[in-house]
Amino acid sequence: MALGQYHKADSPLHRMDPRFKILVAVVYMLVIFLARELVGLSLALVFLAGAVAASGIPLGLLARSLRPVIAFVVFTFIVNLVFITSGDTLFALGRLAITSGGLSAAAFMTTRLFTLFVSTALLGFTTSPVDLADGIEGPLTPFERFGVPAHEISMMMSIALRFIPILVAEKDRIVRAQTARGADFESGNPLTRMHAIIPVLTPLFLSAFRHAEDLATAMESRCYHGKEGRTRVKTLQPALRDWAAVAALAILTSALVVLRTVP
Amino acid sequence: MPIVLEHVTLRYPGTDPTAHPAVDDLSLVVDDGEYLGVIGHTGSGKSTLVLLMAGLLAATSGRVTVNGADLAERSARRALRRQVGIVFQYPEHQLFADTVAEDVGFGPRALGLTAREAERAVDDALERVDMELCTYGHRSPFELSGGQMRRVAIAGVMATRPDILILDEPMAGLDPAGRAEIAALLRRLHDRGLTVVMVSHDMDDIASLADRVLVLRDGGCFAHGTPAEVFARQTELREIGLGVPHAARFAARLSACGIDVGGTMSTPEALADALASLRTDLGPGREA
Repeated sequence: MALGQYHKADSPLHRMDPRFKILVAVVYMLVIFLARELVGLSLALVFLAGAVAASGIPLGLLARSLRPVIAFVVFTFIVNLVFITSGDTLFALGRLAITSGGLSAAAFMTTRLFTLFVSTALLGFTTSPVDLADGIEGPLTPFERFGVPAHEISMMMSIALRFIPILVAEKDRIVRAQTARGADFESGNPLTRMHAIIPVLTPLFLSAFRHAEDLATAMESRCYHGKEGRTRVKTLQPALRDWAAVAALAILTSALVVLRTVP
Repeated sequence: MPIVLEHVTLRYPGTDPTAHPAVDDLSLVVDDGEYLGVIGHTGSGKSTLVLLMAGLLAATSGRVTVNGADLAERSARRALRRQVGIVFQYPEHQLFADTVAEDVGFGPRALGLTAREAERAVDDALERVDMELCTYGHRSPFELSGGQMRRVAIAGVMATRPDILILDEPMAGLDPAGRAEIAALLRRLHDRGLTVVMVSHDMDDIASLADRVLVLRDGGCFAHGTPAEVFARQTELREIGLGVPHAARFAARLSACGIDVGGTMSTPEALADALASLRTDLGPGREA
């Protein structure tokens, strides 16, 4: 859900080195699970609020991007509320009991989910697809010695992202052509509609293969042969703000660790 | 009168309102059995015009009527799909079925014809594009040559028995043999009474096939007339970045050298005839 919703703007978060941004986001999402009590969770939320403020993303836009996951969050809340029974019973209806333990577990779980969603959304909003692919290659590079094809993964990602608009245009063209031949994509029961997709899907797949083959030929004819010896047009250079973000995350992490060990 | 456009303007939603619309106050009549060639460079509104005529887009203002039905109404646009066949660029990219017969039968089946009627429509359409059902019907469309694939795709459009055929760059990307196949096919279809509208970048194709030529510029009509009339305006056409057929260019060169061939010849045949008659006019004495 974070992909392809890039919101062009000029903010500290936009300017961050994508490698650092991705790393910080991933580590943050792991660190959230260290927070077990109110203080820790509040610290994590403060960190997130700081990131939102530094992103320059309008709050309305951010809220809209969370709309598709609301149902999931509500469902999680209810499940936790109903199925976790510990502490005092606050409210009982037959065999259904709502306990203080269930309530706090539900609150914690939904807050965690919320922070997870907001941080991924932020990453997607502030990082262009190209930067995202670049940023993924860096952190993956150390794993190359274990056989992780870091360069290939990032190249595949950027190509896949680049092809989305092309394939959408291609789909529109095919739908138009088949519509002109009398195809009907708008009426009928789900089964007939599913059947109506075939005359679009087959040509679309063929065109995707054609595009892929053309691109492969074009890349090879320009001497692309994988990562070895390739230099970058845009060399990524960590700036002060990147280290500041890392420092803030380090402080948050140590605070959470301390909070956990101190009873 | 199959296609009538009256002051049609189309502006794509969300485009810059200060720029000229994709189609700008265009009025045009395409008569029954006419072969209209449409030229103009990229962005001049050719493809939009094609979509308007086929009822796949509704005009922002103005009126498009096809066979008397006003296309402002959705139901009219839907009904039009039987009367107007449209062949988009690279139509072979829309082929999808396992066999030629099945692919060509897609349109008739979608329009709700019975199996028997559909089969007859397929047979008929394949015969029209010179790809007999008994020879090619059971073959996979993907193992045919480029020109054959395109003819099958055109048959797929013809299978709904339209009386107007609109083609967007029907010869693009084919080898000379393929181009000749398609050109011959279009000429044959037109001779049988089909109204044809063809968008093309190739002035020689336009000159040899079309009865009338429409030149579009910035969404509006720049010139409209017979090929000879339109291609006589060589300098103007060149100014807006368009070429003229080879024959017309050659005729212009000749007249610049003082050899008057008598008007603009847009096809090699017409030019050859003019040159031959010129030679007779000069009389045999010159040769001695």
